[in-house]
Amino acid sequence: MIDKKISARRRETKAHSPKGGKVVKIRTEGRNLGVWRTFAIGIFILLQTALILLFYLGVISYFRIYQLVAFIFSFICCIHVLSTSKPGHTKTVWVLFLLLFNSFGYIAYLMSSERIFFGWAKRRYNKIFKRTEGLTCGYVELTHVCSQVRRDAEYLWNAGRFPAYCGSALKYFASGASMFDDVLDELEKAEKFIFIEFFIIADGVLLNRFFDVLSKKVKEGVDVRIICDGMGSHGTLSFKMQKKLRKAGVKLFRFNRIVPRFTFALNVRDHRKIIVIDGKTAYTGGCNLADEYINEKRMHGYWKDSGIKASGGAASGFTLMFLRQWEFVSKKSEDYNKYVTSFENVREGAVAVPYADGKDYESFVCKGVYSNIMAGAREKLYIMTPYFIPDEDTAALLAQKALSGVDVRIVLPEVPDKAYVYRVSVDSAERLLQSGVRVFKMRHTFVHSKVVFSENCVSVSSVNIDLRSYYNQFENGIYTNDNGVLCDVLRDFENVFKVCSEITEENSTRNKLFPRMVAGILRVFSPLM
Amino acid sequence: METDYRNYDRLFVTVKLNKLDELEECYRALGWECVDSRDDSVYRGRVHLVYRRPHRIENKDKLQLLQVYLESALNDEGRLESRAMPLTAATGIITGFVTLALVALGLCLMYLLDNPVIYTAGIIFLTCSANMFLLAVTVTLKVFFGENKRRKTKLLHARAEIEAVLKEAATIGDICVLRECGGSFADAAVSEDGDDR
Repeated sequence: MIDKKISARRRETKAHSPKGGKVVKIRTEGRNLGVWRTFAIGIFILLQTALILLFYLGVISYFRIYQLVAFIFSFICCIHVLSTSKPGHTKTVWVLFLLLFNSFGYIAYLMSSERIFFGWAKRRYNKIFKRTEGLTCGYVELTHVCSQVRRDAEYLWNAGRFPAYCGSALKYFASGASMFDDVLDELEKAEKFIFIEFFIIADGVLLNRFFDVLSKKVKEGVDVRIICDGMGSHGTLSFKMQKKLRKAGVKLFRFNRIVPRFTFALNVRDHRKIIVIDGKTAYTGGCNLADEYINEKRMHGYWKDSGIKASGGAASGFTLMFLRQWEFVSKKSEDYNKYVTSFENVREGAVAVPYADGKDYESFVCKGVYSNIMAGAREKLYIMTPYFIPDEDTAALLAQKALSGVDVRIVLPEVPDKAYVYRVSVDSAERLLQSGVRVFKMRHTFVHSKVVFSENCVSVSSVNIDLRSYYNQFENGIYTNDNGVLCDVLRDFENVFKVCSEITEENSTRNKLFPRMVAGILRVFSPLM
Repeated sequence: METDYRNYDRLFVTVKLNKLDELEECYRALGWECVDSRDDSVYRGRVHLVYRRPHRIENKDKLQLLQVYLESALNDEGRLESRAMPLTAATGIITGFVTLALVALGLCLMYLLDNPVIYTAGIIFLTCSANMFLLAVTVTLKVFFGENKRRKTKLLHARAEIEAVLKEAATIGDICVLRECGGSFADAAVSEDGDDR
């Protein structure tokens, strides 16, 4: 509030509006929260790093033969890296790092080992999975679908015990706004439980709308639980709002909170987006719970997103996913039978397979789903993704599909949220132009949808086409061959193509030396992007 | 003061006075209604506006996309109308600086050192500086005309974009509210700083 006297004085001596600058400036309602908290955590981590370095320098000055020993250890680590199943690019970056910084590279490599920073978590996940594996509806042999869908469903069962649900009702949303309006309507009908899991939950108008409904539902006796990611929601979900939610009776946990401690575990994030209502209705997609996802906050032009609603048996798949994660973050055992509905799976109707991925699974499920869809495409393969940093297999597969005559199209944003990731994404996409892949940028838009579509099936998920989503983060999505969803997704793509500009070999930035050089340097860090 | 965020979307905009009427017409075409306006407390030519629109309306995704196009085109137009010519300015400054440097060098060589050879070199530098001056003027004018031509083309493009958005908004027709959300559409006051929490 401006003091009235000050404002009066200001009105008397008003300046002329500066020339240039924006004609129209949208004032967004968000606030940058947690700046000081982030700064303090950053300082702590830097101090710890400095202490480790000082200790290290002390050690190496005391032991003269340390350099030789360090080089040998780094060399052994290089051999180990090359023998692992990490993606090729990641292996190259690690070997480069170990050889360049052989004095301490092996220490960083050992600290990054999952057995060290994730070992105890993995054991807990294994216990949870073992206890709950009988709760899925079991493998169903699909005889009424095409061979691609049958194979993909079998892959998902073998990779992560994700059953295929037949006959569930599915609905595709071409925007976050339409999805969340539907969510709010369904939340009003909740009677037993509401489970919400998002990477980002942010203060704002959307969260206020959710809060009104959730607080009402808690009073009606509905069990409301929320999981948000510690880093994704850092600086967006205020302490005040967290307190308000808990006071209203909502149970809230943060996954892998940011702590002022140097650890590679900070890189492991929960990127899932799940809403489950009474085990009968579930939502997933690319949207997080924040105003920019519904275009009520302007961040990077128009925000294009998508989501999918599953009603029926498929919703129980998401219930189980959420409860396992809940048991992990809350460290309390759950009675799953109260929440997971058992039902008889039929062998007719569209197939829907909710799936998840993360450090709790042995296989790289999301990568497998995407690869299967891409490999099975015969006519069309359309992809919408905010980040496009594929590993070698995915890039080769896309190129091979385009060369085989499949119409392969990739839609990227025109407005980036992170310039360095965008540069690498555009460069990766432009490398495929000569194979016949068509690359589009949606004008004035940040495309946040994660949709991979072929003529027989589609995946709508939280999975970006980048190494973080494939190998590091907890993700989820739904695979389906539902005709209605396929038509809606195709219509969405066709509408999007109309408002896109196409990148061709003539106007590609790979024709210019400087952008190519920058992309080449940034690519070194692509495993972290 | 409470705002009805369940039934209405809100938009806070700061606009320059010379674009106010056009902006109001554009936002009206997209279904927005101005509910509050106040002058900026510091700058004379600016005004802060608050718009609202019913939350659930038909074709909302399309309207939101058109709005982004519109705002981007308006800002492009404003930036181009400000006649900023950075390339021309840079060319003029650099060539002017080189000319002045040659003049200074020539004069120094002519008058500071008493040597016929160096004196001659000074005259040569002065001659070069005269040529450089002519070159600077020619190049700067050429860059100016080129930049001006591109600016006018971009202005036309921005204007065409605005017209296209308004035309497309008109084809959407009247903004139809889909349904009420809970309570009534009772108008609620907007707090002064726009904070609805």
